[in-house]
Amino acid sequence: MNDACYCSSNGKIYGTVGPYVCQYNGTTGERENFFRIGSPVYGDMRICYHAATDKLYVAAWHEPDEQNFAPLTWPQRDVFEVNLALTTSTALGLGALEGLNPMPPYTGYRWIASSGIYLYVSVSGTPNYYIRRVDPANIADTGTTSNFLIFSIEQAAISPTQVVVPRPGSQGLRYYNLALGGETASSLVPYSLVGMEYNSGNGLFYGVTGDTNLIRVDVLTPIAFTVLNLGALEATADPCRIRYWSGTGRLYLPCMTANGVIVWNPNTESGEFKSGFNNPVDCVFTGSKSWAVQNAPIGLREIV
Amino acid sequence: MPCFKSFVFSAATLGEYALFDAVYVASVDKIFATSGVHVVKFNATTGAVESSVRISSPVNGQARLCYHAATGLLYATIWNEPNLQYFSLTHPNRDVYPINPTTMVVGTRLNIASTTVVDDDFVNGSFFGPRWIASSGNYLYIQWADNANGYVTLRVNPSNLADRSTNAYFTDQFLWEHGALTPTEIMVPDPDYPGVSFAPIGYDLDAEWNTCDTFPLYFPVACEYVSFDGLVYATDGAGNLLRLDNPGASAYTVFDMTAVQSGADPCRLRWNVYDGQIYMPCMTNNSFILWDPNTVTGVVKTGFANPVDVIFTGTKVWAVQNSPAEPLKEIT
Repeated sequence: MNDACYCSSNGKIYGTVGPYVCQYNGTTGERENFFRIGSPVYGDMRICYHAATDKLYVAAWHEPDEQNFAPLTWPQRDVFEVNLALTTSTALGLGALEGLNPMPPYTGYRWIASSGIYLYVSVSGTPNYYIRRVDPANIADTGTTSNFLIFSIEQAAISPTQVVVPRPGSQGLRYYNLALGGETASSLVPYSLVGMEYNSGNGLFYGVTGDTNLIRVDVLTPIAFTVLNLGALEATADPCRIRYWSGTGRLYLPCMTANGVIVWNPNTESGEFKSGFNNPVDCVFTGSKSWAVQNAPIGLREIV
Repeated sequence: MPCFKSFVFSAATLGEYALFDAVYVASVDKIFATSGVHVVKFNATTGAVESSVRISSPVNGQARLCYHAATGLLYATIWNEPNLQYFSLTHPNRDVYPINPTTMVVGTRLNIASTTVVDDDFVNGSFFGPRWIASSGNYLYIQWADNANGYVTLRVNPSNLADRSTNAYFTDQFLWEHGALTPTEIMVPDPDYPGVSFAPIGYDLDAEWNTCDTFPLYFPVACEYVSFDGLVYATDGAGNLLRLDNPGASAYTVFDMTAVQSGADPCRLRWNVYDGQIYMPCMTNNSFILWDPNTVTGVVKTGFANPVDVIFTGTKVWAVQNSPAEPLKEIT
């Protein structure tokens, strides 16, 4: 599994496995249903739940493998709207809007999240990567950031007022108001951030760099940040995503190499390494439970 | 180097497998397949999952797999998706990894990028790394997406890395799904050329790759050797099956698979020496086309879930499915 989300309206967890969306019981973690989004698609997919429409949205891209399908077009790079029953899948047509079909190598949609009102997607386009805001109920209501980074991101952060985007390779981050219009500001952080998260408990943004650094952004402008060390908890810690769960007030950092999850208390700035997982790439939370999303034969494992 | 734990499952264990490549190993009578960065072992009679092992981490890319009889080991290629561009901008795990098919223990990586002519792909971005692997019995053949040169075909002896092709062959700017190994030649598709290039199986010099067939209207993505007629066949992912009638003379015959089943889009093809059929998985149609090269006719087998490949054990034929439905499904 590459990504997962919790759907509060039916209590289910939905995750992406190859070109499929799988539905899991939010209490037991058992798989209940699955549905193929498109084919042929080889790329991993990202997923979010959008309460305004009570639907799932799946972002698809294509690996270079997909270059082979004559006549060298890639019709399925898009964001797909999927009903909760997993019976229908409709492309929003963003690929045409973006001009991604046909385009070479690894263009497509690599991350998606919902603010409750809008969807935000990371676009691997040409010549660069950027963020697009979309109202799935009105595709004309859209906006984009300027080109802002040279590498794909794992996760951006959405607060009640801002979108904060890591800039891997450029050592910094950019932040925007939720409309993505007019306001474009950047801060230099001498670390290659790949994933950002908003902590509603203290109103701060946190970032991960795929190694033992956890970056707490104390002030966006002028930038002030604190580097927190995960290495003392797990020497091989390499989280590339980070999730905040209001249920515990903790940050959750999946560590693929160590087969574990670091649970970080932002109040005490201390953490605990939980082992026993298999290649965890993400975390997902229901109202009462936390789950590791595993890029492994067993997709979900509860974090206890 | 890390040694990853092998996970053992009961036969009833459900899992989220999305298989990408597979191989049958007769010496242990097991099927092995890649699912993400894991290699999974299956019972060849029942298709049940027996165990799995993670090859390397952190890696988000898919893996390809082959069995090399000379060493009695599986070899898995790992590459990295652009997702992996972030890890301090290094990509240390793009390589070829041996796996013991009995113990499922991952051995020491071959460190191909440091020992061959490919560019230093450990520190470069994007989608570089090994993307296909096959064994001739004596050598491994690897397709490597190389930063500096495009796509490279390498010949390597895993027991003696100094015994390898000293000049890589740079195909074109697109990946292919698989090449063909005949008793005397390696033949690889050039999807962008478009055509098929070939060289003696023990090739060493660039010049040996100067021969190619061109298919002006077709973009082959996979080649397969068919011992029935001694010819190589290719698919283009768009419903065309190409038979190379006279290699070197660009003489070929095109068979329309969409006439067998509308919408057919096989991107791999496999020759089953046991029943004399060419098997072509069609992802979009959830089907297989079985093509008889003797009668030049085909039939359709339906009821599969996103099949990407096929495995022959001698007594059974298994669909390799990129789907959580069930990883292997018997074709009857």
